[in-house]
Amino acid sequence: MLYPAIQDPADLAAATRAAEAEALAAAGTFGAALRASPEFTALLAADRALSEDAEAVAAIAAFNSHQAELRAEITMGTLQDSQRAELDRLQGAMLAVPSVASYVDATAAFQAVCRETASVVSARIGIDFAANCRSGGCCG
Amino acid sequence: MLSTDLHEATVEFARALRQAPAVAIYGIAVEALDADPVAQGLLADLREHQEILARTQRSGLTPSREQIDQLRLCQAAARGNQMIMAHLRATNDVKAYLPTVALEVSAALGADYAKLIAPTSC
Repeated sequence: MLYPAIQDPADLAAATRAAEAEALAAAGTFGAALRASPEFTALLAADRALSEDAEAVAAIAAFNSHQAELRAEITMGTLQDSQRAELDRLQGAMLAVPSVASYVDATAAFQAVCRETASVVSARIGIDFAANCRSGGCCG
Repeated sequence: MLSTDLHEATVEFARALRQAPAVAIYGIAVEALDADPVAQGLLADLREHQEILARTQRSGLTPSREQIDQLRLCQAAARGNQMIMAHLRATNDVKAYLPTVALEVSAALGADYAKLIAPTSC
């Protein structure tokens, strides 16, 4: 009988595949549990309300359009005070629309839940899960 | 505060993830590196010489040939240490693996989980 630590390479490969498959299956179950959370349900409802609110859609479009026009200045850090003030005004108007504010709040609440789950995972696997979840680092 | 159901699903996910080969090997590599005084000494030397060079550059001076040679010697010694290199390989492997798992979470969630948990600076 072989020493138990000396495994057949085929067995080892099968065990590796099984562990990877189990992790992926658990990832799917975990994703489904997140989807079933009240915070995600609230986010979906806020998203729906936002897309059906003409005032919100117009306010978002106005802000996005102006931001796109000033992209070069924003990127180079050469935004003039008047341009910054107009951008701030449009952003303020957008965030003042109740459905936009609800969407922002719902996103923040769900993000907090997601970050808490990532902290639990990080503590158990011994590596920062949030910082290593994206290809090329957290900004990748 | 996570609900009981979500907390249990998270813990179960973490348990399975911990047993995935890339994560398990990374854990072993971290423990082995921590327990190896030779590797720890080489890394401490490397950090010290990196810091000397950085300090020199921050003060507006050009690092001397001797300082650069010392750093290169430390780098070569670290590259020649099996424990350090095993840790480096395991780190690269786990960093390549975790995004594939996050994609699976995102697929089930219907939203980009990695983006949702990204550090604030991102």
